[in-house]
Amino acid sequence: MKQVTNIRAVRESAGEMEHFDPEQRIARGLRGRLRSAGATMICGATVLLVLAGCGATWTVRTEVVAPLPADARLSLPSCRGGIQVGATPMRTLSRMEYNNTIHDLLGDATAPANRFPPDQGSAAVSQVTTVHMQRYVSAAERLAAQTVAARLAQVVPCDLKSAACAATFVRHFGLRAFRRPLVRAEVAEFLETFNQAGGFNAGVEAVIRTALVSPNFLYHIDRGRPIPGTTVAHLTGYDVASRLSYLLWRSMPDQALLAAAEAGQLESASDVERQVRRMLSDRTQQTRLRDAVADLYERWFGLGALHDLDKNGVVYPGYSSSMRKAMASETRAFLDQVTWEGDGKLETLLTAPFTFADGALAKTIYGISGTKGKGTRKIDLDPTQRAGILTQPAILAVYSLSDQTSPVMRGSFIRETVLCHKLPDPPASVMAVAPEPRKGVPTRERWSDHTLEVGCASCHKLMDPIGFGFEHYDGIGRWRDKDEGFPIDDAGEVMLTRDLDGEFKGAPELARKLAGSTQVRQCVSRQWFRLAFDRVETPEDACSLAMLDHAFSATGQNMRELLVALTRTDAFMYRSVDR
Amino acid sequence: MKLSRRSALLSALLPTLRPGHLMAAVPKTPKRLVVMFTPNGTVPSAFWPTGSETDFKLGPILEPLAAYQSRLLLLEGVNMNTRGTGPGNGHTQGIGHLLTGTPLLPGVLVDGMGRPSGYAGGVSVDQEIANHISDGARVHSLPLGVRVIVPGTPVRARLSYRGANQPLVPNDDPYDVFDNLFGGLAGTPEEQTRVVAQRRSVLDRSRRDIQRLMGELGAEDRRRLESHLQSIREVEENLAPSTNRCAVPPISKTRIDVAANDEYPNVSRLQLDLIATALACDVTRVVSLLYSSTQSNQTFTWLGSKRGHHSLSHEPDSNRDVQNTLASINRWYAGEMRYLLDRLATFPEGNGSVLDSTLVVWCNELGIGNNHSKMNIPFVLAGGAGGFRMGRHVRYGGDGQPHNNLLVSLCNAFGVPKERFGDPRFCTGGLPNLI
Repeated sequence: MKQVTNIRAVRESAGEMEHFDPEQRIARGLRGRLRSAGATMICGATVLLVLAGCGATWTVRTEVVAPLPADARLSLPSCRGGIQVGATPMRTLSRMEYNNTIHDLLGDATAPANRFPPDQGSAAVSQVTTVHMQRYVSAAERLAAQTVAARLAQVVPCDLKSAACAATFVRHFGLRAFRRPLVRAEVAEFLETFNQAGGFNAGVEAVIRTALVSPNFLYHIDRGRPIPGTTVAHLTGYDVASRLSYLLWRSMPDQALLAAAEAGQLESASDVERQVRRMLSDRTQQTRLRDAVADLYERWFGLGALHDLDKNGVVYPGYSSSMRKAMASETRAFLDQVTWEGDGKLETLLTAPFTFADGALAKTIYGISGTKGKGTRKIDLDPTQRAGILTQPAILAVYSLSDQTSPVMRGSFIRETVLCHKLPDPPASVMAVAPEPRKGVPTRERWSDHTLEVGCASCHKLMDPIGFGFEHYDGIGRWRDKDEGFPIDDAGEVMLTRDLDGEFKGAPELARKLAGSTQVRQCVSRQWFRLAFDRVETPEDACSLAMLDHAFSATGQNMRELLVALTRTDAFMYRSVDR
Repeated sequence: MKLSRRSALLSALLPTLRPGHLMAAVPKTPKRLVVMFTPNGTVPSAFWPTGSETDFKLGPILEPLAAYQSRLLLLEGVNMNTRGTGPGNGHTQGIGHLLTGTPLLPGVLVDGMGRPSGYAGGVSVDQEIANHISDGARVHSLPLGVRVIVPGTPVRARLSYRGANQPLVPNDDPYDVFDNLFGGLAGTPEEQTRVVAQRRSVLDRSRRDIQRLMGELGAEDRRRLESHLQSIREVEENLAPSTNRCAVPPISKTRIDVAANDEYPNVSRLQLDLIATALACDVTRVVSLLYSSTQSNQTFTWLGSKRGHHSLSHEPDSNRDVQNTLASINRWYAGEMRYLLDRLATFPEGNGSVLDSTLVVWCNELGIGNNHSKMNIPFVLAGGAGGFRMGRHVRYGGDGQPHNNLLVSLCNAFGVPKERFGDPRFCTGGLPNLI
């Protein structure tokens, strides 16, 4: 029997939305009312209630979630071999993480990490070079001095005059800076640093300065308790607290997470889920949550390339840096809306016939006038022309050349990003040259050599026929009916997939096919695994991937629930022990 | 206007560093290496000289280097055979393979082309050489950049590697470089002593914490921390009281915006001045200089160009206007190399100049931009170190030579005994016809 495990209550008043977790009192009250109204049994229904005394309309969505068995891994074939997880390399705090952490730790909002070298992009490769080290040292010196000068009381939890305060401060600050309690030797060393500094303020400054250059502050370090007879360690509550806060907020754990770790309440999957739901609904952290998840989407779709995407001004005279920014804002607003205010479903992400554009973009790209103002507004689109994220100009422009579309780039993007198909490299003897634009010759004709030549065809048949389906959109994502005077032929074909093979006509039809595909569903959960753990999966991760896909599937492919499910995998709760 | 402003800035930076400032002779003249990288391929017809191996006429791109023709070695027919192996696209493979001779590792660094990868799979030739020749210099090596601003994948912006998956971040802020190399501390001598002691203590503690952690970690993480420890050592080296052979005047207080597109030429000159000074003063012996990044859209407004370099580089050969612009961009880079050679030649050393003991290697991740060609990478060597027969345009016929072979020859030229470099599948030994 299915059961309701999650109720989201959304209050719409004055355009503002609030989310409540079922664990919260008010939502519990709602659930009680719903139950008494006999409403909980309606699967997937949206129930409108007007609650007396609240002064607003509450839309209560009940999301039907098929519960995982108590031990999900027992039911999954990939999980029969005992607990195994791939190795997660140690990595340093990213610039965003460093800035947020410093803000929470010291109350400093100057974003000091903006002076550090740009992020190296992946855990597997994060390392501290000489330039990093120099900047860590100068940031630590400055931050320590400024904290003592301006915000001493914020970091010192005791009466400065009391004899025990130095030790109290060291333990309190050490716990927050290292995101775990200090061990005895560390307390002694910090106290020595403190005492040698000469004076209380100088002592505090020296401790902060020293802590901020320690690897215990700079790196994400999973400790864990090795489980005898296995290759894994079960993460400690403090490890889990950090993993949760850096996944969802890109910052250090808050007081509640540290308290839960101390109380041993981050040990089981249900403990973790309770915290995740609290974190998702914490209103004070909404911006960070959305930024964190937007960053996952950006990396998934490769949208970082949009920031300096250049187009040929003769071919696309309207294209400018402000259009580029508007495209990025559009996609961000769409992803935010679908993920956080909408139904959160992959299907909506892939097929929604609406978007969020500012006036200029609505007019130039979509040919819709009358949308005024700088901010993005929801606009409805012709569902025969547009469907979801894949037909948005940000993606269409990134996966195009500077003076024309690129069926190859668009096709390989779909292959690799949503089908997880690793395309082989072109043979070394082949020079990839895009056919030049030619007057009177449409793209499809110019780009057909690939599929004709024997040596190229075996791979290009995987990409080009998909890319041709996008020919109605030009190199900056505008709809076009003709290409060089010829009507667009948007017939496409998907080959060599598990459940998508067949012809289609145009991107919207392709998007609907993708939304119903098992291969796509499995690929999406795999991609989010890679993004969240910042590494490529290994054979040891088979069980975690199966758990993730199971949960994603059981929740109707809900992106929010995918985020939650990431924290319920073995890969989240354990680390491999490579000794 | 721009030029005079630049001259003012530059003269304010290092106005009085003249040969006389070399205070003591280095006991034994060191060998030095500078690797200079510029992106997006070249225009072969404007690049390669005409004539014979020893009697040749430079094309329009290399013409700014004409005064040094007898000290140049142009290598035609060196191909990046590693390309097409492993993950990455033409640009990311190009820069990642260039100095390491290894494929990129698998990884999740998105490149905007649907070809994700990790970083390169081995040490780069500049770092390998630095490991052998840097004893006695204060700084192991100096990875520098000019406007390395890359919103996309960082693989595009890494040239030097300490080892597999260990890219070095180029410092593209000349003011920061100056402070690190030559800048003293502010305040009275007592205050300076106090700050140095503070830093030592912070670094000591950091080292101790790392050493404690290493016991708990797996092999790969331990390697990462070894690299961190090396960085700590290099920061400490910079804390040592100055034992430079040079008296270097302070850097100008007037700062240019080093991230601004149009300051590119100014940042370039500041970095080249610092490089020449650092080599002449034996602060370091190995430098890599990364101009922007591969696939860079740096816009050469001062050459009258309005479009980004990468975007231009994809224009077809038939677009003569753009090909001319591309040639002028590469010619501008040749002018920067010329400036560096000029600077090195102003420092007397032994019976000649610092240039005699320096090898400058100019390289590119592609042969041609519009087809991402891996053939005929434009390699230009200049200077006196290495024992190569200079003043030649060498053409490797037949299938040409794999670029890994050049990396072997560079190692050998600096006394590093190597028979292969990088991925041995793409290496047959040193390049013929160099010595």
